[in-house]
Amino acid sequence: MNIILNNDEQVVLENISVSELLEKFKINLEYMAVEVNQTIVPKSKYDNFRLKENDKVEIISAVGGG
Amino acid sequence: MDDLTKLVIDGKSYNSRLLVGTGKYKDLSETKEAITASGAEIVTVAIRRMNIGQDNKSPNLLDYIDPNKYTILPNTAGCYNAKDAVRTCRIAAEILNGEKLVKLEVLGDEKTLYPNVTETLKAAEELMKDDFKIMVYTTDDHLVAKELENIGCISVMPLASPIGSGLGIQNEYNILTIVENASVPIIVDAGVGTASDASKVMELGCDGVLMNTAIACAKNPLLMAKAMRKAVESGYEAFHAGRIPKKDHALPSSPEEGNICD
Repeated sequence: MNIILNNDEQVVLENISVSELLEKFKINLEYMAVEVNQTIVPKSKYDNFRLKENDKVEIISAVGGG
Repeated sequence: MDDLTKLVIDGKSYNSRLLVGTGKYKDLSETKEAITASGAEIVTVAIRRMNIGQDNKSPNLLDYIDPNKYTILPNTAGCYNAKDAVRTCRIAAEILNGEKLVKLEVLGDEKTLYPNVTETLKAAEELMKDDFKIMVYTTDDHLVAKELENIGCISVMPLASPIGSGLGIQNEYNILTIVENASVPIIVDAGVGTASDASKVMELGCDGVLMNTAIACAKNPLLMAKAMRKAVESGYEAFHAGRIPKKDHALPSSPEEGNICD
């Protein structure tokens, strides 16, 4: 299925969980956050939270800024 | 010996009154070295989409700036309305394992990066409901500063001049009025160009200075970081030492009695 991940289209497995998605893209779980359709998914929910077609997923972290 | 006190933010006391940003450095090593040289203990970061792609091994800023050692102050830079700023703060808290100290900034336009006060007030009110500890970037208007304080912001951060401009304090009387009326720490944020600007801010009685570009974009960022550290310290000490009044005539420093030059 298609999702929008950090503003880019991605094809991922049907009903992929957030955990599986992060693993697929080798994302380090320290100091990051995940939003699905502008709602934060807490880290404790990553295993059980399943994505749907056209979900807008944001993986966000801290970068240099003033 | 003196009546100098430490800067207290959200119940925590800090030795340094210089707060620094982490943007615009050549690389993360330089960021880390400059921050060390500045002596800053509160360090701002921005919240952005992670780079997803081949290179996920690229180092994370927080691998270099250890949140166990520094107080990380996430900002809402790039937000032009209250909704986006509140969303960014919530994400920041999630990234930082529930820490709710934030630097709220809601900008008005891209040319001046001037604060949008209406949206800033709205965002502050919203964030208070979620128990955020808000340090807020705003204009050098004492009425707005007081309003933000009344909403519950723990520190008000007026600009000296536009972000990244290096123009120094454009209206020191406005900053002075904010300081005189405030009951929360006043930290000048934005506009510092060089060390004397930072000293001047502190000599006006401000509680601290926040800067990024002035250090990161100096020809030698590490040396400028060191200079800023000293400038903030000396300005703070000079303010508390109490300067002499200005006079319109000279007053000799040496005794007039016993002068051998008849």
